[in-house]
Amino acid sequence: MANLQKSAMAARLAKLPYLPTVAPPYDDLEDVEEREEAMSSLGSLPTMLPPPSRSASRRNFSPISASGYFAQAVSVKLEDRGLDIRAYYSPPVLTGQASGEAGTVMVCHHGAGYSGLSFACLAKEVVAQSKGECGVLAFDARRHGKTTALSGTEDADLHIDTITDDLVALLSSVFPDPKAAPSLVLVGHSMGGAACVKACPLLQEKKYSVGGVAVLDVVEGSALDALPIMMSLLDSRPDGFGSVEEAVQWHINTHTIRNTQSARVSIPSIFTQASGPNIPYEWVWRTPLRSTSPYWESWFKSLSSRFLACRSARLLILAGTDRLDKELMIGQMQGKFQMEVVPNVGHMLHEDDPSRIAEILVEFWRRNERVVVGVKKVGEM
Amino acid sequence: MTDVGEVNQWISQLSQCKQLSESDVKKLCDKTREILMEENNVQPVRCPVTVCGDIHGQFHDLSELFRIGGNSPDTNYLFMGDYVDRGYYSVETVTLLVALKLRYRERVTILRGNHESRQITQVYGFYDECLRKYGNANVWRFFTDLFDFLPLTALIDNQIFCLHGGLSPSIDTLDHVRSIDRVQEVPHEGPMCDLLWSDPDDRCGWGISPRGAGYTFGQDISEAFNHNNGLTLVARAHQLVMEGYNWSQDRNVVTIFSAPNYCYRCGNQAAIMEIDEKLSYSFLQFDPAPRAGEPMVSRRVPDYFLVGGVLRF
Repeated sequence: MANLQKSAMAARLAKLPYLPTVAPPYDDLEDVEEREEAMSSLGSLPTMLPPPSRSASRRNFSPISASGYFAQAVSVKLEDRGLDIRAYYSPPVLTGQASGEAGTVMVCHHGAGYSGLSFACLAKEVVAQSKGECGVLAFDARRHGKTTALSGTEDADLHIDTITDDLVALLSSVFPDPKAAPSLVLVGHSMGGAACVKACPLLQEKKYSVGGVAVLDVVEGSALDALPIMMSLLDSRPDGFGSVEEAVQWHINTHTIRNTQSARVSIPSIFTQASGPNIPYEWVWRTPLRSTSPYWESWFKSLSSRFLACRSARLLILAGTDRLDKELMIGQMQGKFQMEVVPNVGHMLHEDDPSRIAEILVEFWRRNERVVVGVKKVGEM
Repeated sequence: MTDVGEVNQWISQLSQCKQLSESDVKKLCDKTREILMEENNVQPVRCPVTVCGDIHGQFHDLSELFRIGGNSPDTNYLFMGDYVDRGYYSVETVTLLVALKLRYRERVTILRGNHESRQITQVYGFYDECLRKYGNANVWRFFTDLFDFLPLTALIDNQIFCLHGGLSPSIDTLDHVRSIDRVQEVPHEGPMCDLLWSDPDDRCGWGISPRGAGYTFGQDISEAFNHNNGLTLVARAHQLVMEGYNWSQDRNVVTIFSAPNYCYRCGNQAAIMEIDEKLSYSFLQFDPAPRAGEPMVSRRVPDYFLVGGVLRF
């Protein structure tokens, strides 16, 4: 059944280049299964809970479908970019009281090596905490997750300009008319933060309304300082795992992700089944980080000055400690952006504590979207 | 009853950057609270006085400030908040300033900054420093409880309005400020929050502050506020300015920042504003003090980068 259903689903996804503002209902069991199949990174793996005989103290690392976290999974073909983008979307509920007629969508760009599903738990929280007024669009960047290159195209390039153009192209395709588009809050983690910061002026040039830019746990100074040691850090990572459960468990055991639920949703999408002889693992990284090294500097260089130059509200959320570089320190002490330091989380803060990060983002959105007569917005002249 | 000799002894110990015992800090905070309780939300101050901005735990720079501006009580001082966080000596810095307040209540005025708050100090260093230096959070608790009593603003000879942040759309007059119930943690919004968080802006009118708290206010706002309240100037701190002081809004507002090379990396000068008997101002700028025994700030990478083997991508 799997193949047939997969191709049926693929056809259906392909029919959705523009996302409807109302989620298509999945109203029967078959639909639910189909959706789980389509949305879980690994349709063939069990998504059921383990049998009760399993010891309660043993944690369950089996994959969880993303279907409970987003309203839809869609495929967006960007011919000009040579990409078939996997995106996940929960549209905003339009109440009529929302600030713009088209509401607000938080557009989430993941960091290197991760996928749109690293925002799954966050998305659910944002929708719940904003009572659906704020939608969420997350997607897999090129060469990540379930996004693929269209046949005959090459997708190796992860230069900042390339991923930024991808982001702009995706939004232009999903929301083709800037006037009718929702207000966008760009949320980027690490590499994705760099793409959001660079995309902000480009989107504004195209007359999109950008209500805010939120960068999660990346600072130019410390990121550039760390690049020389990155390769040796990568050596400590296994090249693959025997199963997806093992991969999830590794992320939990190493504290890379401190939220098992989230890791079970997000991690399956960043592994692919190994192919070819002499590979000792069944599952390997979809995006081997070593292969992204030529682009590292491009992601982080000038990030601080670009962030401060964004003509919208600016938010920086850091995990654990305040570690600004000189430019951001001066910017912060001159009151140019909002900074939040979140305790008890690691670099994958949006996975570790999705509820707290959603709270900060929703408050940031409310504060800056709200129209108060006689009070200018950030960046408004 | 705290005797003068004991407080003098504290001041001389603190002046050498040596912290007090936990029990002495408790005594200090208890006695100072009685003084602060009596002070007004708009605390009247007489000239001559020297007005200072953010210090942020940069103890050696505070010593330099006293060398340049004159020792207390020879010089009267008005500090506009942000004594703690980010620098390495928040404990010694705030203890010294509070001890000076206790000893010379008429000659030292200390206002509240946005960092004199339980929430902010848990993020930006003062809480951790108290734990490190005392082994428990009691001293942090004594001080943050005391911070609730700090006056929000001061008024020099009915003409110069001094405060940490800036103006608020909910406040038109000094009497509005006087009516605030200030004995509480700094709220997330509202007039008290705005006084400690707002910034002047080149744009006219009010704006949402990019900081996430308070507002921005334009020249039209400060002009009207000064005019309506018979003021000549709003003096405030809160923003790093590279020269240590900065006139803005057609001299309706001046910003004073007294932490040179802020956080040991920003490369800015510091300044203080001397106001003489005739209410004329002059600025004294200064650079970081030579440091003995202060930890060098190296560009450490691995420890925060590799927490539990986590790559930051």
